[in-house]
Amino acid sequence: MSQSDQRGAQPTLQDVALIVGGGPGISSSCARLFAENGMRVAIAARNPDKSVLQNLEQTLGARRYACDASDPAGVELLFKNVVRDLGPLTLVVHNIDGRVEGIFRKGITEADPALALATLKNSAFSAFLVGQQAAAVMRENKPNANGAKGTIIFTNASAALKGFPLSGAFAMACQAKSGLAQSMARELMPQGIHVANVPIDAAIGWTQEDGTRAHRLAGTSVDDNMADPDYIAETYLQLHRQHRSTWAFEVVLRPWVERW
Amino acid sequence: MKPVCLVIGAGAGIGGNVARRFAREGYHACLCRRSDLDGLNRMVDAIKNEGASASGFLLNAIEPNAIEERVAAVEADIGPIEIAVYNLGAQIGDRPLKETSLKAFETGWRLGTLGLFRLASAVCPLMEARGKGTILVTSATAAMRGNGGQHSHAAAMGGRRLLCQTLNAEFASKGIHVVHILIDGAVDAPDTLGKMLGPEKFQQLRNARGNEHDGLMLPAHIAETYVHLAQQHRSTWTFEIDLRAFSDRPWWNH
Repeated sequence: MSQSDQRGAQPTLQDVALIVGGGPGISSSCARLFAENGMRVAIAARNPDKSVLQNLEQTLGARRYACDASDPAGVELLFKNVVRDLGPLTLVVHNIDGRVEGIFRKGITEADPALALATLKNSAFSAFLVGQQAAAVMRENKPNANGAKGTIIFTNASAALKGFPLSGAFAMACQAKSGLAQSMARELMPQGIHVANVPIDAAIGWTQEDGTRAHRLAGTSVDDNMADPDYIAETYLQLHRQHRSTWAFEVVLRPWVERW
Repeated sequence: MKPVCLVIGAGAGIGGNVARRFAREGYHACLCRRSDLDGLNRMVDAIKNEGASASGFLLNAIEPNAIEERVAAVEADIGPIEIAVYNLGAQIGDRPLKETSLKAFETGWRLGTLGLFRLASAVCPLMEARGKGTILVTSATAAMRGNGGQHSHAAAMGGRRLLCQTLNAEFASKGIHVVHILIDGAVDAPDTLGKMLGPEKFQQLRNARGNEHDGLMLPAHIAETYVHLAQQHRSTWTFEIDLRAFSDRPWWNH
């Protein structure tokens, strides 16, 4: 039915993935799935000594890096080190929420300007820095079997779609990230770099020590009513594997019972 | 008994490739198209030759009860429809208002919106009773943006998109995954784009933007995303996804 089947859907060169922003949720699930699929995995966090990240190193051989992703020099050094240690990057996930203690649930007249600025720097500005370095590295890559030089995925949130009350700083940060992703997609996709914005429009329930899944504020997941990071990771991998003749830009993920 | 993937609008482009891809996943593919029995049989045979199973049916989606009767017959004779793909296009090219006839507009609406309503009315009760099902709806740039000359197509596809939203609002929590798939670019599809342009222009376009340039969307690769969407776990469903060739201009930049 199509002449395209002869070309493989699987990248041939070994993929190297960097996940910026590491914790027990999406980043851990991505690290596991990417490693299971033959990628070398690096994971960067302000504090790379968290037990969950040490565990990824022990079980998957994931490399851990310390990085304040809102610091331009720090991000530049991170990319240099990862490329030196693991090789040219083909998949970068920006996975930072960015909200700081004290900015949650603040009305517009109560929000501390310094904390709002810190949130923007942690989230949208760090996405800019990570995107900039990722683009610079990937431009030098040779296209893989899908015609792609690499994939840059931005984890985003409901606030990318709508500004909720008492959430001004986060709404600014998420919508800025969406705008950045759109602009980068327009610039980089014709150059062979796939850019995707993935708003997770729900609470994410990550696996607890007793095997249940739960969210810090929303409680325990019941009947798949929270997004499961293991399945979010599957969509990230699928985005990375899409052929360049049919790339998705924005993929919103939400549980079946979520109201929106 | 194999579960069924029913494809309404199975030409040699997205519809046929999606049917074949789901057949490889173990579904019985039911391919429905309006005309070209030979072409239909060739696609069904190609699927069977891979060791997968498929049936082909001629179906005119505009005829009263055609979709409803096909759904009932497939459920009775072949198996439960777990995946329904609505892939009928309604593109008639750019036409100024004065050249867009009432009939052309109405036909666009019948193919673009009403046919999906009829498919959903037929399959949703079955899927709801089983507690699961997937409805994958192919859509177009015109669902997001009314470009010049697209009166019939944009109204039809805009209606299609919002119908997908109301279906999702009613049925997602009943286990039915509805996806609006925005195909934001030209597809390398001989039965649709090829026929609209004619063989010579279509070949020119393939030479200029398609083939190794990958600037025309390749339906076999589009089908990979359809399968991924159908396999998403219910804790992380996508309602809408936009697909385009890497070198193409997205709808928001037109």
